[in-house]
Amino acid sequence: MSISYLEALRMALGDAMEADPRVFVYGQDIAGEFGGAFKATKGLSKRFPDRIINSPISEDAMTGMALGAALDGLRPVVEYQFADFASVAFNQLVNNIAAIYWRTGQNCPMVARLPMGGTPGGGPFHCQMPEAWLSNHPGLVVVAPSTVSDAYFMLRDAIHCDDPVIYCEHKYLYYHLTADFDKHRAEHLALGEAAVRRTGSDCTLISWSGMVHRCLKAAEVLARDYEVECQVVDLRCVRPLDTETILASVAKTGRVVVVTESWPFGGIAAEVLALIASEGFQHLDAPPKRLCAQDVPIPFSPDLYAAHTPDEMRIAEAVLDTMAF
Amino acid sequence: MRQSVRMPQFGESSAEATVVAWLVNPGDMVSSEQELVEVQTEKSLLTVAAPASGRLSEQCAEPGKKLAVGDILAYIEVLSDEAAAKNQAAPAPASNGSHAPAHAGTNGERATSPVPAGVHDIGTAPKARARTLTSPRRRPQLDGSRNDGRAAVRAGTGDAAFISPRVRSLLVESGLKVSDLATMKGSGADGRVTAEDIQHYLSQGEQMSSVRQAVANAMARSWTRPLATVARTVRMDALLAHRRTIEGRPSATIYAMRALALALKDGNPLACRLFGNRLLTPAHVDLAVAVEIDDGVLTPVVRKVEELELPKLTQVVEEVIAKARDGRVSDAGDAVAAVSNYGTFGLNWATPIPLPGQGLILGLGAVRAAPDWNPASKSWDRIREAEFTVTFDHRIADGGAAARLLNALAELIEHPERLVRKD
Repeated sequence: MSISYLEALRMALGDAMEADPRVFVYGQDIAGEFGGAFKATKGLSKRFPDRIINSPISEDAMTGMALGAALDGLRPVVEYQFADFASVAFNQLVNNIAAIYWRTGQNCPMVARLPMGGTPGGGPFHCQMPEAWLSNHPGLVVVAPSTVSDAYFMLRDAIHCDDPVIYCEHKYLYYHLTADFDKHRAEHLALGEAAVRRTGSDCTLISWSGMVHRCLKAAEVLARDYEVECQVVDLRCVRPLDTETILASVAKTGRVVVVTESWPFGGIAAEVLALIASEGFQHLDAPPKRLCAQDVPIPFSPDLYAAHTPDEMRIAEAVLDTMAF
Repeated sequence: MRQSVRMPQFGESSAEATVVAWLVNPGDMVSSEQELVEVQTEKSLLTVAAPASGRLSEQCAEPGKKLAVGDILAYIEVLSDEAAAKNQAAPAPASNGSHAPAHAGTNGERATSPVPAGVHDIGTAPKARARTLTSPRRRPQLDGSRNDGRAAVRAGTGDAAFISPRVRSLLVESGLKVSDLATMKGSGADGRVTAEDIQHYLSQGEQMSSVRQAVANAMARSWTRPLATVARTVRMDALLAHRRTIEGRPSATIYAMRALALALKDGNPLACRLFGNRLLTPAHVDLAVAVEIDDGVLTPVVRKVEELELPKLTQVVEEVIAKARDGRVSDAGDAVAAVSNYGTFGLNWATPIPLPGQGLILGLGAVRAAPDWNPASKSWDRIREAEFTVTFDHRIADGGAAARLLNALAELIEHPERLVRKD
């Protein structure tokens, strides 16, 4: 059965609530017919009328409420309309939720769902990538699924996890990514494991979330036109990092480009490169590179937006730069 | 030169487009930026322009055919002078940074992003121009005409001698030396040797034998020490006469070994072995003998040489040499020194290298006839002589000690009766 990334999310929410009566979803306009800003919960109110709950328009309040519910033994899933607005809940997320286990010894099994990433015309408040600022705080698990299968299993695993999980879902993939999916047969990787999406021996492309697909396209162009075979690593989970898979790939290829839709400064790409430089230095045959979004706020103009975000041509160019070293 | 025209990426959403109509026939001359073909995406009717001037040599898709982004639409035969003109017009570094924000430098991957020379081909994906209401979406082109206003900077090592961390690891792993890189052809930036070049290099030739590898390894380790050589001529007539009187007719090597053992035992500082900053004088003089085998040199050790009289020493050395040639070295342990008779190759003079852990090696040149001025008879005598060399670890002792050792040894060789114990 072919389903979209968004439908996989919805299926995971439904199955999780079916499997565990402690699970509920809390967010703005998610209940009833409306089913949320991106329709992730559409239809679920009928099945679970008391467990799809509308919140007030206060990310701060709803996140604090979810924290209390988690400490009280429930398994809340908080939905923000846009990841950008999770910044309003920053205090709850990083001061309270991230640190609660260290302060009290009590687990905080909650999931915060952050619809992130760019769509043309979305502009500076509706396209941002939150994974770097939340990954900076010990205590939070931060994941960013790129496939339909991961959208389903990683959300199930996030809800099952006894620690707070920041679940970063890519808005562009909601409708644009569909795939055949059978939850009984599909590969189910562990939450913290990276996946090798394409094998190759010339250069490693490391990415996560929506950018994985552009890396795969770039890899095809490079293989077809330049006989450069890239190994594409999908981090899946950006905190903690699957250091073993990253270093094994760099050991294989000796060349690496980290590609992200996020900003460069202090980001996940920088963290991955620091890991490679300090622990995989002996494997490197060329300077490790990163290709990030331009270091400016996200533009509204579709033309400027296209220039803002890495695309497959620029990824291919970065790989060829690395290969030419 | 044939250049491909590829289906460009038009907008965010379209991964493919359908060919609607060709605006140019095969064989027609086209100029750069001239519209070649109309294509239809989900949203818009667009045209694809020629990436270069030349003759349209081939159309690769009929109207109605759907192509993915990057697929080949056509080929243009670019004229050589056109190609030259194109190269001249190729990306000069952007002369001003007016498009770049003041803090653009923090965007590391762009600021340092180089454009390799070979990338131009991928840029044959031409610019798309929309005819419809949707605004044209210019994509960054890989031919250097990028619309981000940044300078194209060539990244390189600037140095063919640059060694990447991976290359350095491979050198260690494969037993190569940095000096070996000079013999390889580097395919990397500025001619540096890449990891791939090393893999290619290593795939040639054949593996050294294990004996050869062991010798190479030992010699390389020994060579890390400051080694010096002293030499002198030694008269051999007395020795050659003396050996006829001794059981087993000991060779010059045997005499040299016994003489060296006695000379070392006489308190010479070179009788020491060096461990870190400590000098150890072994209770006995154990000497190694260099024995040539098929693909290397073995150095079996003879123990307590100073206690072995010439006939016994002859017998023991013959045994260890026979065993070594048989591939059975019974004792290859530590020795304070070694003896090499390179004279058997007809050589007069050489500077052999002592093994790591051995402080010196004594070398014997070939015996030869020579004139010697006899002041008593005022005439030239015919004598026989040979060059003896001592190559030693200069950390243990200086040239004076080596000279005294060699002189004491020569004195014994020239008076071989002193090598025989008087009971």
